[in-house]
Amino acid sequence: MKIGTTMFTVKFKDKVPCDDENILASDLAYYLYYLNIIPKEIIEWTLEDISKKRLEDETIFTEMSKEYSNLFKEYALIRLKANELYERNRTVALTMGLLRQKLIKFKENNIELPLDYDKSIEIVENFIYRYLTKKQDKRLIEQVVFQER
Amino acid sequence: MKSVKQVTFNFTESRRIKNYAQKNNLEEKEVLSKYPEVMHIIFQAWKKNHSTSQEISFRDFFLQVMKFAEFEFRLKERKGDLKLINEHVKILRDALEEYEQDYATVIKIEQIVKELAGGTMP
Repeated sequence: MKIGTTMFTVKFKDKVPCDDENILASDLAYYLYYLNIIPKEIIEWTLEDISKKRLEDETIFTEMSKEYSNLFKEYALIRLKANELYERNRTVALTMGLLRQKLIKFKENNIELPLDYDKSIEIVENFIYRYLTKKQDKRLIEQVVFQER
Repeated sequence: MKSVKQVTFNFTESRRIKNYAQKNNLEEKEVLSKYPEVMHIIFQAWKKNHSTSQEISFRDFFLQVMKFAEFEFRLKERKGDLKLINEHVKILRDALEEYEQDYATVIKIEQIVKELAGGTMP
């Protein structure tokens, strides 16, 4: 059989009432994604039960959507902040590079400062390594795209 | 009313089924076997409802069930979205907080160097 010319047929266990086979086939194809969701317990449900459950779902959905929307806004704001940090990194890198050099020179020249030279150099180097090199903290640069639903 | 024991999907519908199977790594047979199963469940449920109220047509009942399922599906998806965005907001929030702390520490060192040693290099 050629690709794209397959036509599937399904046989049911029961003879189901149906005015128009084409409409039924179209419905069944349309709702394909939701077939796995239908619980066996539905046999015991009345139409009212189904409506009630749908209403419950709708309420939960609305609340979740509000929460999602708030988180989406927060995410967008933090992302913006992270981008700003990323953009100013070049300036920060220059400052940090100079600071590191100064600390090393001052230490060599025994200039007294109210700080621990070795520790301070280590802190500055760690900062450079962590945020300003290729090994930088990926959390701030990796983007995840969320849908604004 | 007419009743049917089987349906044949047209090319477009069949392709939709094919694509779904491929996308979900399932065999077409597996996907197709879902239909009799689900139709059986819906038919049983309809028969039960129909016995108390003759007004409910099979198609209406079928559509009600499907719309319910569609909503359940969307709800499940939304739950997944919410979990994902929650995780990422937390990751970013933590990362930013750590950055701000680290930045404050280095800036403190810079201030000391600037104020007490003048900005010039020895």
